[in-house]
Amino acid sequence: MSFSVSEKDYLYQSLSSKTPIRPDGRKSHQLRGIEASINFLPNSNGSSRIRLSDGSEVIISIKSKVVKMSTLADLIELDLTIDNLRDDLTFISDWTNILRNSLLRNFADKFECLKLTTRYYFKLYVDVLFLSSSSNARTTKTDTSFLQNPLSMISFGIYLALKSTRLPLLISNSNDKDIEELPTFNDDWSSTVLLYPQDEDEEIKENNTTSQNSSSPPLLFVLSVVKNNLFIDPSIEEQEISDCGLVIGWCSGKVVSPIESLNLNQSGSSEYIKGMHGQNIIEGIKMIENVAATVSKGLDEIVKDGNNSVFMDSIF
Amino acid sequence: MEIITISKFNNNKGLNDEDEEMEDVSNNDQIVTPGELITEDTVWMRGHGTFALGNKTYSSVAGTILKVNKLLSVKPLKGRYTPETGDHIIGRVIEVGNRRWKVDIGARSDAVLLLGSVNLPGGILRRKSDTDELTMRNMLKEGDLLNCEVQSLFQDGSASLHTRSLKYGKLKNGIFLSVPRSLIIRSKNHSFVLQGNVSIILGVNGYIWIYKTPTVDNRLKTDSTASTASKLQSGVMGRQSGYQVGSGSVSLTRLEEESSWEIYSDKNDENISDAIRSNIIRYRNAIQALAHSQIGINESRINMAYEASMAYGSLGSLTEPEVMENISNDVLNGEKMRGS
Repeated sequence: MSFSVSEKDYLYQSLSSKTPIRPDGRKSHQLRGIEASINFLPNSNGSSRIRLSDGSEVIISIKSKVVKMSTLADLIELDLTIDNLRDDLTFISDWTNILRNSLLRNFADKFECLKLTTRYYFKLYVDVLFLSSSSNARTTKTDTSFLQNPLSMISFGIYLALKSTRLPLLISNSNDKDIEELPTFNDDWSSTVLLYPQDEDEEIKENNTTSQNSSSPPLLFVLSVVKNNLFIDPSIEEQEISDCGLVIGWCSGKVVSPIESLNLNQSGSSEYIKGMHGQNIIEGIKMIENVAATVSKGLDEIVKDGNNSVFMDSIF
Repeated sequence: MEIITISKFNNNKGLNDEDEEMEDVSNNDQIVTPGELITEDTVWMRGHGTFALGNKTYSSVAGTILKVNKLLSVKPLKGRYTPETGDHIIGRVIEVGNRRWKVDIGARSDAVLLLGSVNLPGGILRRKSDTDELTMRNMLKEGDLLNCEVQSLFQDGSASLHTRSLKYGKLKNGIFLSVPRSLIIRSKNHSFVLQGNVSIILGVNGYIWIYKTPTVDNRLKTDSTASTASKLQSGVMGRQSGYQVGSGSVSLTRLEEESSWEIYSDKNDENISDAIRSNIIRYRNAIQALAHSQIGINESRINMAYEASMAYGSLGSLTEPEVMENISNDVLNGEKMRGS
C-alpha cells in the first residue's frame, strides 16, 4: 500500500512552498502532542509509556542486574521490538544502534552512577516496545510502508524511563579491591536511589560544581527535509515525500551526536529521495537548539509528577 | 435480564396470544453490550456477534439486535465498515488484477472494481477491448484513491464497486483523512461544496477526501455532484457569462468528451493557492476535532466546526486536545441553540 501520485504531489507542493503548510497544520517546529506516564510497571526499575494522538504507543522498561566489570560499552543493552515485525530487519537494527549509541555516548557521569564497587557494576537492560497505529492497516507482517519513524518518540520514552529509574542501595563495602565480596543491598524499595537525581532543591542548581549530577539522558529529534524546509517530528505523510531525514541528538543543554541523515521513506519508492543541502543541517541544529530545552523541561515535569504520585506507594 | 422474550414472528402461523403480548418488548433498536444475555430460547439460530453458553445466547459485541427470520445476530456499533449497495465510498487501489482492481475500503474484505464498471477512456458507450485490459494500470494503479459506489454485494459480504458516473472517479487536488466509519452520518448526499473554495467527499466507510473545489468551468463540465447550492451558484455564473449551450444539463456527448484520459490523470491543478491549502487543512483539523470527541460527522457540523476553529488563528493549535474539545463543545452548543 502506498499513497497515490496526486496525493504525494499535493503534499510535496504544500511542504516545499515558501510558506509551507503541513498536512496537520502544525508549525515546522511544532511537535505532536504526547501523553506520557512513568513507573507503571511494578517489577522493573524504571518504566515509561508514551502515547501519540494517532494511537501509536511506546512502552519502555528498564531493569538492572549486577555484573562483573568487563567493558563500559556492555553496561547498556537495548532491545527494540516493533509490532510483530521480525527483529532482524535492517531498519530495526539501524534504529537500535542509533538509540544504543546515543545512550552510550551521552550517559551520565561516564557510567559513574552505575558503579557499585571496583569490581561490580549495574548493567541496564532497556526494553522498548513500539506499537504503531498502522499495525492494523497493514496487510502483511512484512509490509512496513505505513510505519512511521519512532526514534524521537522512543528517545523521549527512554528519557522518562531513565529519569524514573531507581536502583537498590548498596549496603556492603564499596571498596573491594583487597577483599573480594559480593555486593549486598538494602531490600527496602523506599531507600532506593534515583539513577538521575532530581534537582528538587534549588541549592543544587545554583551550585555549579554539581551540574554534572543534573545531566539528563539524551533526546533524539527526527527532522524531515523538503527542499529548503525542515519539519520536526514528521507524520507518515510527511515522511513519505521528504527528500531526506535528519536525526539530531540533544543532551544536557547542547546538540550532541548522532547527527545523521536517515531514510524516512519506508515504502521504498525512491522518486522523492533527493538528499539534502549542508545548509539544512545547520538550520536543523538551530531548530533543535530552540526546541529541545522546552521538550526536556516538559518531560521533567512528567517525571516530577510521576515520582511523587501515590500510585507508586500503593504498590510497594 | 432477558431481552428477547418472543419466540415467533408476526407472520408465523402458530402465533398465540401470549406471544403477541410480548411482541412489544422486543424492538430492533435495543442496544446490547458484550456478555449480555439476549435470549434463553433455543429456536433462534445464532449469527454474527453472538455466542452460546448452554441454551442461552449472549451478545459478544456492543450493538443492536438484528433478526432475519430465525437468525439472530448483533450488528456492532463500532468496527469495520460493512458495505451496502448504493453506498458512496472512497477506496484505495491495492492491486491490479485480471480485468479487475482490488480496492481497500476499510471493510472486512477488499472490494473489487471490475474493468467493466469504470468509465473507459474515450466514451461510456464503447465496449471494452483487449487493449483496455492491458492498459488498466494507466487508468488506476496501486495507491490511487477513487470515489465510487457499491454496486452489489457478493455472497461473502465483499463489495463490487462501480464508477460509472461522472461524479465518481479518481481523486486529486486534495488530502485524504480517515475517521471511524461509525461517525459518518448517512445522508442523501455525501459530497459537498463548502465555503473557502473547498469541497469534500464524506465516504460512508469513514474515508474522507478534502479537495479544492473544481473551477466553475470544470464544474459545469465534470462535476454533476454539485449540491443544490453549487448548482444555483453555477447557474448564476452561467447567466453572467451569457448563455452556453447545455450549461444546465448533462448530455451524453459531453460524457464522451469528458471521459477521455483526462479523468485518469494524476496531475494536480497548478494554481492551488496557499489560502485554499490552509483552508483544506483547517477543515481536516476541524473534522479531526469532531472525531476526537466522537461526534457524528455531517455537512452542517463540519461547517460549524470550521467556523468554531476560526477563533484559533494558528492551524497548529488545532491539534491540541483541549482545543479540539472546545471546538466540539462549540458545535454541540451551537446545535442546541438552533434547536436541531
